[in-house]
Amino acid sequence: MDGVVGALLYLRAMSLRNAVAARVKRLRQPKYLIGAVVGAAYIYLVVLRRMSARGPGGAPRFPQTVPVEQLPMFATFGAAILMIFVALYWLLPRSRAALSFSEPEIAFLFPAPIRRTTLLHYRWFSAQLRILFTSLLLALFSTGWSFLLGNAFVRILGWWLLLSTLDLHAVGSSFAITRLLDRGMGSLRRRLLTASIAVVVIGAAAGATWLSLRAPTDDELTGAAPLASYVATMLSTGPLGWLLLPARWVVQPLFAQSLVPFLMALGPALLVFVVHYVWVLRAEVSFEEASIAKAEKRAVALRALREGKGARLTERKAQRAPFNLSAAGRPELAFLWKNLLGSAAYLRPRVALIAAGVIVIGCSWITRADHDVLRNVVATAAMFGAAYTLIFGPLVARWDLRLDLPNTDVLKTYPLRGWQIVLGEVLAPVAVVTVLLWLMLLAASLTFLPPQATWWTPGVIAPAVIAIALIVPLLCAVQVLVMNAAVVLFPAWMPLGIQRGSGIDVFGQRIFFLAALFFTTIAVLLPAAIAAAALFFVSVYIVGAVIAGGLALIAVLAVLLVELGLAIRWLGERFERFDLSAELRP
Amino acid sequence: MIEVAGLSKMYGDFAAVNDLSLAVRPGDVLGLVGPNGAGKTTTLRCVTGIIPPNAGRVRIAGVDLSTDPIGAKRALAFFPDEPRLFEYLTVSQHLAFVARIYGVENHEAIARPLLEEFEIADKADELPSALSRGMKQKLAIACGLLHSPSVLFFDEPLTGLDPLGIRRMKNSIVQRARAGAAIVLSSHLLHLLEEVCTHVLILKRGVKIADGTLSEVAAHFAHGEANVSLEEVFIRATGGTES
Repeated sequence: MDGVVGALLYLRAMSLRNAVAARVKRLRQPKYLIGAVVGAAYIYLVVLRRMSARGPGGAPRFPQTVPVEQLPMFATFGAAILMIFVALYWLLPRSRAALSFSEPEIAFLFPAPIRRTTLLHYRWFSAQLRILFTSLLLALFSTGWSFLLGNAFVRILGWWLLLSTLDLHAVGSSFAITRLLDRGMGSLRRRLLTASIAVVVIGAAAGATWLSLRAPTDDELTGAAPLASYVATMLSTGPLGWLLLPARWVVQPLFAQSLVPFLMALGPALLVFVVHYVWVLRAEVSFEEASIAKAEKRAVALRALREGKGARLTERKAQRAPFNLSAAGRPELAFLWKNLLGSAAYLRPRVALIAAGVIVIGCSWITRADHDVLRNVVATAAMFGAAYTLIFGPLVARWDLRLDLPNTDVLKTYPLRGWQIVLGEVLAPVAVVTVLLWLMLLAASLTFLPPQATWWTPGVIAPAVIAIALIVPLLCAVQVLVMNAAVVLFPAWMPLGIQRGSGIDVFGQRIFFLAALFFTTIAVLLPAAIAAAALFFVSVYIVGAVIAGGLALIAVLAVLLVELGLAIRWLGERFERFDLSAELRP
Repeated sequence: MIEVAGLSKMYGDFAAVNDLSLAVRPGDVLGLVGPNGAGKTTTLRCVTGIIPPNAGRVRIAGVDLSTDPIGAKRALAFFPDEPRLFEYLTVSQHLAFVARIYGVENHEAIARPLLEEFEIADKADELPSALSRGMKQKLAIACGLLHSPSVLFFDEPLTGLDPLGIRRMKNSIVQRARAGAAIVLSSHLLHLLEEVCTHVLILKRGVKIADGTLSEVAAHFAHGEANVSLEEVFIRATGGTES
């Protein structure tokens, strides 16, 4: 074996072995072990059991979802979709050919005496792990397509062949585009040329096909199934059929109904694969410079991701301060100020005020103009939006310790108590999500059409809206605090350092975490709900429903505030004792 | 000004720092040296209140770090080897944020000369991503100096600085010591320590091997030889091996 090839195979094999060993090693930590057990159980119960296409007694677990006679039609649509992907490779804006190498790979391999074709093979071989994993996932998801005698491995092979060919086409097309760029053809001209060729070729093929085909009958236009059958016939007949033939060859193994047709379909698919392989290998295009730039960009994005900042590929711009921060005053507000600067530029008090004005004017117009349908649509959308924001907003709004975890050492040198840092950190996400919810609540309350009930009066609606508006920030705070507690208690679960958030154990931890988030939120809300209900039912007979409702609201707010206060203080103490470097030790 | 007694820090069974005691008076610059993994950074993180030690007492400017961490932290500044900046705050916004945290009134009057001293005044509206590694280091130091700390801890302060930046940094450290600050400086650059430090403390495997003035430590390991360099002292003290 060529010494270089041996070295590259060694590099890949050792990287894989060490990555697996590191994952296994960290299972010594109970939190990872529990995560692995939960993740494995989930994968087995939800996914792997489905892999077996036959249940007890040999009966098919999943009935064949597509009749055998319709398989060619699905293969035709698959080929058409694949062709669209191929067209996108040529049409979408792309710079010079850049292959995916990591920064260490570039540092070691590019200056080394390694042939270009060897590098290409290495890159192809490295991509196989990702492609095989994707094939496995797709095979799992396509379990319901129980063609291929329900054989999972044959399905994986089919997906692998398709994805590998597509991957080679991506590389080959990028090489071809680079050649065009080298010859002085700009990105716009290239896209126009590609689009023109696509329009002319597909148009000519479609036109010729159209001429050679009969027009659809009325029956074929009556439903989706007959229409689909008609379109598939058109796509597989005449010149358009020829045009789609290579793509059809590639997807055909996936649509074979038994082993023999699969093996027969394998030949043409392999032919397309080999043609692509030769195309890529023979292209004399320089990819090194662009690959270095791509690797640097990926490394920056990866670092940002590991630091919980999201994979930012675009350059961040300086923003105007959300409000004036004087040197005197509560230090917690400095964190709100700082973290708002880390959020999107439009999440500002001024924008919220303008949005509120637009909502009031727009909703008032809808209400006055008696557009009941529109009014219902707006009210329903606002309520669904509010529910969605309440559940997912605190997960998405990460401008708190989730973002600041890498700066823990700096934060801990500040002359502040732990609870002050925690309180300051959670203010921004709570404020942003709360304002969004208030805006949706405003829209919903202005457009809501009350049911025809005598008690459902503006006198009831207005206090209810105010009560919800008062409770909302505390609900957000509960969720944001739970997530920040997770950061402080289990920082290794976060995407930080070399132990990235991946693997079956981390997958299990996430399931575990979501369950914990749900139950913690319930546990926090329960005392408030009990206190409010008790106070309401005790006082309603004495002071009436309105005052009793007010007392219940005060009880909810008081209980939640006390709980939040205690949680912030407890989390602050944990933060003071928190040592990120120790937490991330394997 | 800095008093450390019996400081220990354990990670499981591993003692990163073991029964360490030291004292740095106003005007002194203590050089903390040792092989990789000797416990220098752990020591700095313990004495700055970033991580709690397992044992020992730390007093900063006369304030006990464990009983009054806020009071102690008001007096100190810590400069880690890797400048930790908020990527979405500009240079001036960093200073405004730190000013609020420390309650520094009229911070702009203090910040301006600092930015000029470190030659980043023209970068006031730039984000850290637009700064070089050395400029980021300078910004981190400017932020740390904004509240005029009397105790300073530097971890590899010269990393990433250009020759002019190194000279300015050395001068800055010496000037602040002359102004009465107590300074601890951890570095592998022994020539820096020879130029800047009044005292040196050698750590190995978390244990203090030697401390004192440069001449005292040199004399301890000189075995009668004259003009023994700090590098030679270091090698003799640590046995020429890592940790």
